[in-house]
Amino acid sequence: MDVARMNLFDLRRVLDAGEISAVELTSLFLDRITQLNPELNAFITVTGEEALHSAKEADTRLASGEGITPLTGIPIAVKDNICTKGVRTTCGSKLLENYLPVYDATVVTKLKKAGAVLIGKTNLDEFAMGSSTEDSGYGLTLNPWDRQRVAGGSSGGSAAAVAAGMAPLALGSDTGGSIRQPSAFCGILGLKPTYGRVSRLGLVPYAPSLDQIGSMARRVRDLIILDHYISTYDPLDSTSLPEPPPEIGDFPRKLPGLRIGLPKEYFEEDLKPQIKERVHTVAQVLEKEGCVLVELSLPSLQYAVATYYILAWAEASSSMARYDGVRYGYRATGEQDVLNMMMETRKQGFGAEVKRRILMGTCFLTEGYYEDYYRKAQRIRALIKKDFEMAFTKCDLLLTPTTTVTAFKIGENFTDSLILTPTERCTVAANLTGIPGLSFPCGLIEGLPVGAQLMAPAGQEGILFQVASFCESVGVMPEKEAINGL
Amino acid sequence: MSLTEQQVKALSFQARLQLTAEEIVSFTAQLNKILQYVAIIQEVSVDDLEPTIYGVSLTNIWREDRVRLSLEREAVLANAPEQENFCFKVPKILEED
Repeated sequence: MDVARMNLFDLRRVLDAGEISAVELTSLFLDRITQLNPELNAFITVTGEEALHSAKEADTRLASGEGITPLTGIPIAVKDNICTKGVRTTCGSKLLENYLPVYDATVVTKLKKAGAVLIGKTNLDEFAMGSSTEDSGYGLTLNPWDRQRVAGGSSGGSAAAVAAGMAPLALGSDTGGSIRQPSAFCGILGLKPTYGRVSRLGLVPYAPSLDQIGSMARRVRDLIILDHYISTYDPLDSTSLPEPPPEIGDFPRKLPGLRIGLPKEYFEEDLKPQIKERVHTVAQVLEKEGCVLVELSLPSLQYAVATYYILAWAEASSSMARYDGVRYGYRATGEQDVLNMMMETRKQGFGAEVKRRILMGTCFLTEGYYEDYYRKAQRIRALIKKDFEMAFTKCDLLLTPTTTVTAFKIGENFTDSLILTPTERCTVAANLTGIPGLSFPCGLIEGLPVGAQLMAPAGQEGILFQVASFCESVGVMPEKEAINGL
Repeated sequence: MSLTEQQVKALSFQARLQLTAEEIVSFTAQLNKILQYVAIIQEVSVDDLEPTIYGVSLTNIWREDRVRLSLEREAVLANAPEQENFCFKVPKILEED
């Protein structure tokens, strides 16, 4: 049975019909990982034993017919900055090489309760600080479409795993585009939910006011189901939203009359012309269905990346303070006093990109910089929010490219990685404003996937699913998938 | 605004991050390049806007002060580089007399 190419609906059907057991299904995915992972390096840790154990439990559930959910017996890959009890969680850092979380992230608890099978922990840029998954302590992840190219990042391992059919579904995390950008580069769907919609308990923090866990899949319906099962109010996450998430299939609006905003700033400057063309094709398809295209402007967008750098790195400098060699993680040996032990531990334990962000973030929070940079960036965040609120009075959702380029060659971005605007320009605003953003594949350029991004007001994931679902049904997404070549 | 090597050294101490002499030189150049880029925010006037901490509006959340299980002590300590008598152990923090 060619399970790697099957969507969730088909996997569900064969499992429920007893054509295959959950243990057999998990074994087939583990085989595929064994076959493909040595080269693609999407997984840092493959949890074969644990996966087979949960698959066995799923089989018991399936046999009894009780407590079956759409995810029962379905393998899922989890980004390695999401805590899994007793399964090492490295965050892509050598500093946490042997770290065994003592609790499951809320999303992991939810998935286990639903009967899902966690098949492994996926690669990422160290502590999710990067856009290519080249900067991991465990080697880089290759793009399944072209092994000379990066998978994107920081959730590059999850994106590559789903694109290559090593798992039908995956979880990622998104602070400035880390789910959407690798999803675009690998030709799959990725959702950054509304801030607070999915609990962050157990997500190792990078920039807590921007971080959000979200779902990655190859089909819209698969994405909707995974999103549904991880969305929850969590009293243990003080930023969790109390409102219940939308029901599956709750499509609140009709497409005809829906106003689609095209913010001109997203289609300017460095945007590759063929990407512009692809996204415009999506707009035309929607217009033909009766949607109304609205051209509009988000003038503050030009400040979004700088604002994001200041806020994310300032928060990161504080988030990273916990790695001091005392409670967990690596400790430098041979130091006689505690201060030198901490300074040496952090020197040896962190990679260059993490060090750079800690230093820059520390700077933004020092006297002389705090008012002019950190506080000012917080005010600009309010300005960007206002601009988006204004835009959403003129339209119901926004359509933009996800990235201004397709997957770049390995090493291409690394030499000048200080400013990564081409890959972050389109995605950071959703994190700054807390709104949901969904990237879906909308075609190929020279054999590489292109991502289109939809954004809606906070809490309105449903409308994103509805539009993406329509686009999928009319064949906007490429017929060809990376999986076909593997 | 730009940073001197002396200032980067001071930042590295604040961040409890030991840097080599070469790192101080290279990070000073890199940090100045980033500062130059983010200076773009200085051109916009936003004095009339309140600083925003979260993208979505959040209100304070209360909960009952109820006794509940915390994490298992042994499991938590098992991740520590060094432990003794159910405590995290670190190199000495006080000078001897």
